[in-house]
Amino acid sequence: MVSSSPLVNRPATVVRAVAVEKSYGARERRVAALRGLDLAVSAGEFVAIMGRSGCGKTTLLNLLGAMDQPDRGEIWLEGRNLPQLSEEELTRLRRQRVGFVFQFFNLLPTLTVRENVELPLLLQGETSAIRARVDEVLVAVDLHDRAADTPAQLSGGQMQRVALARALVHRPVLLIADEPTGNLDSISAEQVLTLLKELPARHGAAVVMATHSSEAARFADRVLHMKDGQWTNEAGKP
Amino acid sequence: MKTFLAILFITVATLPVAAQSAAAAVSPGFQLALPGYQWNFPRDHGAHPHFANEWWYWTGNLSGAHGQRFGFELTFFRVSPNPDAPLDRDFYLAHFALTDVAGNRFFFHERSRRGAWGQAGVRMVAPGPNAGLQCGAHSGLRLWNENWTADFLSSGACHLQARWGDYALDLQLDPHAARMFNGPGGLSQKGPAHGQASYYYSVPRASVNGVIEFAGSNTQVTGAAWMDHEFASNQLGTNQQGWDWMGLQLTEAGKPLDVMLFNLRDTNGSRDPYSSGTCFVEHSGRSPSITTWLKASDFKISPFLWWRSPITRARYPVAWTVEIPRRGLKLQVRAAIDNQELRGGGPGLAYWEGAVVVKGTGPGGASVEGRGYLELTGYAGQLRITTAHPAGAH
Amino acid sequence: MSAREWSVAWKTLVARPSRNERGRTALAIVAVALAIAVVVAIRMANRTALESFEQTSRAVAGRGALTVHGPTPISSTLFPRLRWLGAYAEAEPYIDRYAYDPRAHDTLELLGLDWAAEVAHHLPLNRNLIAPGSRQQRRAAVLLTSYYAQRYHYRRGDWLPLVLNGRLVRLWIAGVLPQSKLATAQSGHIALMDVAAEAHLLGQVRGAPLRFDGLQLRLAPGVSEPWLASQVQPFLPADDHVEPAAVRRRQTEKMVSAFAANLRALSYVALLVGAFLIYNTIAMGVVRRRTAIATLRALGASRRAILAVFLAEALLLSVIGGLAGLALGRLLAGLALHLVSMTLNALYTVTHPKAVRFTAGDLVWALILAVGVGLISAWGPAREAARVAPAEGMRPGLYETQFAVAKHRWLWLGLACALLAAVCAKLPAIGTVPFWGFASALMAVLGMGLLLPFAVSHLLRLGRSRLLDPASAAAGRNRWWPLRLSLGLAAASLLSALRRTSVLLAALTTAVAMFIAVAIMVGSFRVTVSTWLGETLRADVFLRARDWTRSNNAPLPREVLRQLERLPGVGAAGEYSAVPETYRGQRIFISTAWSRDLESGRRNVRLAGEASGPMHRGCPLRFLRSAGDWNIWRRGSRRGEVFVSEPFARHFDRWPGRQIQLPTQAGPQKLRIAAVFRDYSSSQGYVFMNLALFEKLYGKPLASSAGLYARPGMTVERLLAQVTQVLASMPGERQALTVNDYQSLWREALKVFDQTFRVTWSLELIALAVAILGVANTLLAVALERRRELAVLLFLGATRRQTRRMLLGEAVWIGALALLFGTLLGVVLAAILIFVINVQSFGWTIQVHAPWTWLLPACLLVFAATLIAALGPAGVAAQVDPVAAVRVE
Repeated sequence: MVSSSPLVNRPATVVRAVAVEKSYGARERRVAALRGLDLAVSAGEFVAIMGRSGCGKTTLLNLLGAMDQPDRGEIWLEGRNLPQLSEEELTRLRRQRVGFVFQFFNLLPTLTVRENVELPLLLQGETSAIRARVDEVLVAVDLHDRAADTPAQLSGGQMQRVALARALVHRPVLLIADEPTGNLDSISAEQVLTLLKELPARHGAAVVMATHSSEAARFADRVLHMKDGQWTNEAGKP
Repeated sequence: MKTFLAILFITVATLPVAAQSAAAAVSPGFQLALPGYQWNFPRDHGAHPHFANEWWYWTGNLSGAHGQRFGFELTFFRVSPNPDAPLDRDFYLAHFALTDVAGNRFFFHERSRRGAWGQAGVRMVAPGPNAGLQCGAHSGLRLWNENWTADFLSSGACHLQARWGDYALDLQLDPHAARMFNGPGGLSQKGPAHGQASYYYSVPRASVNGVIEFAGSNTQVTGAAWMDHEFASNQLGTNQQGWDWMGLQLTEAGKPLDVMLFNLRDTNGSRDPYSSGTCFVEHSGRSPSITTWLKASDFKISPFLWWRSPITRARYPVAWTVEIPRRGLKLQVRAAIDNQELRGGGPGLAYWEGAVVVKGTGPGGASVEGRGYLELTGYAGQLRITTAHPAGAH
Repeated sequence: MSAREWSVAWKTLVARPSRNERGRTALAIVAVALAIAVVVAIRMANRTALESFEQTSRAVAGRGALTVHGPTPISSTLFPRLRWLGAYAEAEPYIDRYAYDPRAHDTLELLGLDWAAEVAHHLPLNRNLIAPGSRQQRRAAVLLTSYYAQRYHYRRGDWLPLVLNGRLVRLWIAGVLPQSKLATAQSGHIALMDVAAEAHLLGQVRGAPLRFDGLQLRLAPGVSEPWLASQVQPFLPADDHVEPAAVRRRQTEKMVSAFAANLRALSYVALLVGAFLIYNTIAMGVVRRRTAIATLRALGASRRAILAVFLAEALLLSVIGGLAGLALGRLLAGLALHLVSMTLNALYTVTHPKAVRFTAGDLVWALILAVGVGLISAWGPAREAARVAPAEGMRPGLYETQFAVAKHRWLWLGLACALLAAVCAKLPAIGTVPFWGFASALMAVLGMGLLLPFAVSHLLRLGRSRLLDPASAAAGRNRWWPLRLSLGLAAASLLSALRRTSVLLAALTTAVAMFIAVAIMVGSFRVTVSTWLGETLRADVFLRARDWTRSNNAPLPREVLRQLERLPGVGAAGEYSAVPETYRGQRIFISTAWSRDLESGRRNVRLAGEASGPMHRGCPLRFLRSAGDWNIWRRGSRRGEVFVSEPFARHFDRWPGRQIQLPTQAGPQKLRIAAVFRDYSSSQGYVFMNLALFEKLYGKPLASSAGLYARPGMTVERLLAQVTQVLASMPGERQALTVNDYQSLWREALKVFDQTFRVTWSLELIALAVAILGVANTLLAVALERRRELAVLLFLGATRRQTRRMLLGEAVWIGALALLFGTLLGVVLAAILIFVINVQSFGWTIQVHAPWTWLLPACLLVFAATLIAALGPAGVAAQVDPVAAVRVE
């Protein structure tokens, strides 16, 4: 794999959040998940966001990954302001520029490992050169020999590595990881985190990981702490 | 007056009828019962087609060799549609009843037919070349309703036969029984209007022998039968509720006495003045027969025991005291068994007809006893009577 | 199993989840309700129709213990010879005919009883009922039931015109029958008059001996029926007989039992489909709650508790569905009865069904069915649920793999069923009920159901790999790609839940197969009948008495016929007559036909209708082996042989060469069968002979229908106009005859045919509806279950439209597979229906003509319906909120 792309040397901002606010619930019971946050992540950067459950980490990740819209504020992904985009444009953007890894493996049990990894490309309508790309990324996560298996036949760590492969197969600029090692034993966790650090960086993708494990956070370039929808212990500014 | 007038009413009521005349009127064209009828026997045993209706009525008390007691009734009715109709256009009804006194059982069956198809009728049969008293030689008059038959043999004897299932009778009646006319000249006046009468005679005491089959068991029997033959074209009034009739075969101080009483009841409960009766002493030796006709004022009857029918809920007086002061008779008439109710065609048409036992005293305290038959009508609803004929019968 | 254990298990596994799945639970209940409704409706309709059908077999049959009747009328001259009978029975003559009321357009049974005899039998008449009238009125006096009088606004004193025996007569309404058993016969379509009056109305001469249809005998107590019958028989004409009333009923019951059995079997198809659905619902529930089950088991719940809970869920669904089905069935029963009666009227005789009666038995039966089907269907899944190991449940995929392995075993079972089906198809009927035919069909359905998992899994696997394989797609972006993706993902999804997929497919396949089978059978039948009609209806104008029905053989008035024959446009005339007889305890008909060329006067000529063309060979029959019809006819007639209809041959197993013994006026006669002819007009047996033989055995026949042939050069329309004109000038007669031209008769006959099958169609459509509901239900479950995966897809960049299409893709697969296998099974079932069930029930040979022209579009419609049913679930799938869905549950 290409060791580093020229992009890495230029600290371009991949995603930036400006004063985002997000609340949930009905009028009387509105819960403010995010109370005006700023964040900027550069290409190739590995950012870890720590905080207790319910502090708003997932909400922020969803906003950054173009899965949700903030109530207030701006989110710029690759120079485009997400709140201004239509649903369809958002989907397209997400499809092409973002990769996701979840805590609970989220592989489609009906498909094989290869088919699962192919999925983002298939959804984009890409049919050419898929095989090469999938092979490449499966090799990178060291699961090429299990390409024909179904998720049921894999261990937790293996499934997460497949998820990672799927998240990277379409060369996104941003990888969102929500508690990726929450369900894994320490050895598998270490495997996954190592991959998480290395692989995206190879072509300059940024990684934003939410976790409440300080061991996991150690892999990150930058660790931010969140409490009640706001930064703490660390300056709110990038 | 007989039960079958009630049946007549049923006939009339249930069938398509001709225009009803008003009460006490007569269907036009029929002959009326008027004084001066010339009786001619054995011809008058037969049918009288010019009269609207007619019946032959046999009842009797019978006893078997070992003391079994029975009562029987066999009746043939004829109703004519119009004066010109031949006999085979008439309507025929028949009743057959048996009473088993000891067993307290009663059986009856009713049958109705039209004459058109030979199922029922009356026939004067010309005597054959071997006429006489041959066994089974039926010459003379025959009445039949399917297999119920009454044959008047040329000898004067009468042969009655009937069967329904396990009930049957086969009786021979003595030819020498005397005749009794129920009214001067055989005319029995029923009401005030011209022709509101019938021709009515009886053979009150004919000795009988034969066989009774009751519920499948046969008994040889002997006894005495009472025959009524009445024919008329009149119509009773609408103010009549019903009547009580008795035919009693008595022994008064060892001598035979026959009494017929006809008690007509009005709707208001009173006794109709045209109630009537006959007392008859048959000739013996050189004494001629003595017939005494009773008017309503000549006898008094009143009931003292009643029986309620479980089926029709009618209340029948089944025991009577009878007083005939003119003859010095004081009698008690009791039903041999209570349940001798016949339920005929049509709802509400039921009457009681059954064997009775009589005990009483005659003039000077002489003991009087005997048997007979009692008929009670109008206790299960009022009777209404016309003589029109079912027009449907062709 | 303690109560506490039970309640916890119930709450966790059934109560709470059901609350969240209200829609799906409701769908399952609706499906069950619909299936039960159909069964109940048919059951009630059958029962009511049969009851009124029994009453159709003469109100008079119920009055006496014995009836004397037969083809030869009982003459009043017999009575003097029957006087001895009075000791044992009251014998009363009766005349019993059907008459047609042209004002009310309804039929009445006109019962003539002996008034005189009725006096002694308490006929519930009352003086108040009967209005006095003139002699003319009395001779035509009739009593109506209050039902009939009220319905058609007749009053005492009105004149009632009726068509009786082909003539118009006027009856005088003398009164109304009070409520009684007699008044309820024929649902109130009965009228009473004096037997002699009716005889005269029928044309018998006044003063001559009368002829009655029969005698009713009321026995004296203690008299034995068989003994009395034997005593009476010697006095009767040779072809009359004494029979107990019950025999009459049994005869008609046998006739209809085949039809009723068929109908019942059809109704059970819907139930079968419903059973599949219950199985699926419970099975899906088990799969979905495996985790919960495992947890409960880990917490100490016993196997029995789990089993009981799922059985109880099935029980609850069944009972609610059963009760709802009962109510729905009660509503549908009226419609079902209407359809069933139409068929009975067309095939057998006139019925006047009463209102549908609901009995406790129906309630019990519906519940038993519902509960039985529910428990049996749920037994398998419930047992599996009980077997869930406590440690399990974290890997749902594993379970499905086990099932996928088992499908091989089921493959062999399926083949065994197919073999059994073939064997059963060869077995003969039991009575008139083709029991083995039904068994064969059931085996075929079960066999298909067992084979499906194997076949389906291979097809789906193939589909998935081909569709999702990017290499097989054209390079680059491909227009078809989104479609292939949806279908491929759908195939994968279906494959992963193979059992559920198979069961759903089995349900839909069964429904589709029955639909196709019935379509092929009915279509073939229709073409066969239509062709046969074309071959046997040869005349240009057809005449028949208005009050003619199969059981009321009203003759054509002869003078009218003669007059019509003299019309200038008529070249030839043919007449047909059929008289009822009893053969081996069943009703058959002896028929004959004769014709005359009016110009030459020649008889029994070959006639050709103007409209029907010159192909006709003058033989009135089409034989099973159709080569040389005319010669077979001529030869057989010359030799004094007879021809029997196919239903006769099959039913009594009498074929050409054998002899049959028929009752005739001269006593029983042995006759040889020359050939078997096709007859689709009735499933009762017909024996046809030529005129000479008929006259010898049964006397001069009275034509019950006639055909007029146009002279060459005369068109049918002109001839019809002439006939109509002549009839119009005899107003009474006009009303008494139905006149049809060739075309309209053909259309009439086919209309009757179509009516006959309307009820069949309705049942099929309901079964289909039930199956499609099942599809909707299952797909809804999929949408709800796959929330997580759909969310992931959304995360991966799929649009909502794409996720919706995925679910529709599953519907496409299911629909297409159901059509494929359904067609296969449908053809097999059609073969069983045509060659086994129909032949054994009714005795008809049907030429197979599959109506592909409308069947194909109909199948496409079914496919479309499946897709439409999936729209709802697809919408639900598209509504998934990905953010919420991927959150840890």
